[in-house]
Amino acid sequence: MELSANFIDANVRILGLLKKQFITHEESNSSYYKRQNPSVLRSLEAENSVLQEMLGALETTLKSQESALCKTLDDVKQVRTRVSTSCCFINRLPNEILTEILCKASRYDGSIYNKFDLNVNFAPHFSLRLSHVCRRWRAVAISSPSLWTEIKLCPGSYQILLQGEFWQSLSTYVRDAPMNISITDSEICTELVLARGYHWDDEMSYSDVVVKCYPDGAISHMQSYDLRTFKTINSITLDFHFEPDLVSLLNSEYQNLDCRCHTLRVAPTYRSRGVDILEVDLSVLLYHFDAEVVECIKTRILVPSEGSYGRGVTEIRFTEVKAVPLDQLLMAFPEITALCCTDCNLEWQRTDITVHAKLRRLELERSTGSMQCRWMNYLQCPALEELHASEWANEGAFINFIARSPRIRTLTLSGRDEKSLWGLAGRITRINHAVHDWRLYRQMKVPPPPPKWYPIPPDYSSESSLRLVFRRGSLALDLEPSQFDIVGGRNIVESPSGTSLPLS
Amino acid sequence: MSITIVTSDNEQFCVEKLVAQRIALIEDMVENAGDRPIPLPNVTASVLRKILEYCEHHKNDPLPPYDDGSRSRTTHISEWDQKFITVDQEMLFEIILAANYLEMKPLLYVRLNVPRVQCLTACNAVAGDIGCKTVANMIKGKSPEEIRKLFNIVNNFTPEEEAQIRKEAEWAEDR
Repeated sequence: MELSANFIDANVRILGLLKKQFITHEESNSSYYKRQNPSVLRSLEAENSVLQEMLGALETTLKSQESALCKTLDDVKQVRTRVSTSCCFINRLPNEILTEILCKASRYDGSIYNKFDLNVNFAPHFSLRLSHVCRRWRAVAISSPSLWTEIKLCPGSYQILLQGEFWQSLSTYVRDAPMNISITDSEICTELVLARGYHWDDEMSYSDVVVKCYPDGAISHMQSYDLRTFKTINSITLDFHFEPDLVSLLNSEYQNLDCRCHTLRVAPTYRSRGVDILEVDLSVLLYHFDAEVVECIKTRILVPSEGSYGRGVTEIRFTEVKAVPLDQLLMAFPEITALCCTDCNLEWQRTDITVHAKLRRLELERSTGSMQCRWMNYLQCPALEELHASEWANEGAFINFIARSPRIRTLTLSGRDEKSLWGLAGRITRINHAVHDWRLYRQMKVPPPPPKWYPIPPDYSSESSLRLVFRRGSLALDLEPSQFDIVGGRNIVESPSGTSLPLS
Repeated sequence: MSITIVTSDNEQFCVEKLVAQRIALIEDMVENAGDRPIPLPNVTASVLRKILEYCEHHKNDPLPPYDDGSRSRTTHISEWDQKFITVDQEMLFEIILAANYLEMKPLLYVRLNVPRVQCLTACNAVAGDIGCKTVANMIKGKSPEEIRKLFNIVNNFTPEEEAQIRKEAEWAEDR
């Protein structure tokens, strides 16, 4: 340490001496030039001062320009920020994307809200708000029916529902698109009834009309809504707790409103025992509502005579309907393509061959009376493609029916054990493909067997092939693909009239 | 294997093929372009960088099966997507426009091998739609004036239209 300090001290001293020597030398040189050439020196000094001045001026200019540039940069930054915040980027989007955004914004998202408040945050109220933003948004909103077709109504909005302008605007915007109106609470209907003081007032005083609505787009208590403005409604559900005189009610309230809907559902709720089952006269119902699909659940039905209303009906579904006169029904609705009866009592009175030219699907699931029913003997459906039958006590009659239906492509059998099913299948020709449908195993306590879905062979499209579906077998079969080639049985069966018919 | 993409501002991106194939437009162009760089004249580098970030994150995601559109009804956005899309408005709308140009939705149409109309419904459920969902969430529950302020939209209704709107607003907000 001491040595280092001495070494540094020595160096400092040497440097001091050198500096002194240099200054002395410079001074001597300067005095030498002053003595030798004073005029040159003066001009140099003058030039130097000029240069100094110029340098000063340049520095001043540079500083001022620098500050100006900084100011300009700040201005540019400010302008850029202003432009970026004031630009309307959303209006750069094409109409289809803007429509998608508006639809998403107005759609009910499942969030909980006070049901008694007006749900202005969802369609149609919010759609209307969106149409009030600017001209472009209004044009986009009005030209997008999807913004108006899904409507959720709650008790808080019943005042609006009473206003004709609401429905008028809505029908204008919806155009021909099918609507899906959900009423989430029955109170809305009760309040509407009270507010309108309609025909229902008297009824309510003693019959305790309770209107139930479904979240799947059902409308009930329809006289409270003026539906004439809508061209197409997806579904209408009539749900009456107790309605002693549906016919007079419909006649007095609806008066053939020309109300078209895809599905008309009559699904009464019986809250107490001993209440009469609602009787539905299909001709009255279809006089008032122009429906494509008619569905009756837990009712009695009156089938219209031939040539009455309901020509637009293409599908009829009955569930738990007592006494379904199959023959009358098929004669009254010659245009239907599908008839589905589940848990019904089937009846057949006619004793001659009844031909239904349009029927393509016939489902008679768990319907009692179907095996005693004479429909198998007398019904002929040349267009029938699908038959779902759970009861077929009379194998001969059943096979006869299959033989009279050359276009059958899918045959679903259920309700028996596999031995019986295969026994029957063995007697039906044309089967070249079988499918197990284990869906109903969910209802059983035993674990289901692994699904057995087999691909439809390429020749399935041929007229002669028939796909057999086994549903709800009592035993778990483990079939080998080779077993599907069960084509066989009789080639000729006898028709009810005794005429032999070829099977394929 | 990787491919080169050139943006509108002449920046080159070397992208893994698996990632790039999430973008339908590029997938189509790769077949024709061979080894040549793929030009994207409508997408800037900054936007493409974001889109590739998204594709990279989702490159191993299984493609959603076809559904009835019920999934698309929600405006829920996953946590990562939420962070990804937290950008300024200019970038947000640039991403939406670029995704539209790059046909990121029909990509699924090709993969799913279902009719295009059905696919568009199914595709709404995928994250390519998060831009629209984000904007929809920004709009939800706001008044027309608040929406105008949020997006700098000018109220350009004529006096007659204003009168009509006032009338509509009266019955729509009436309790």
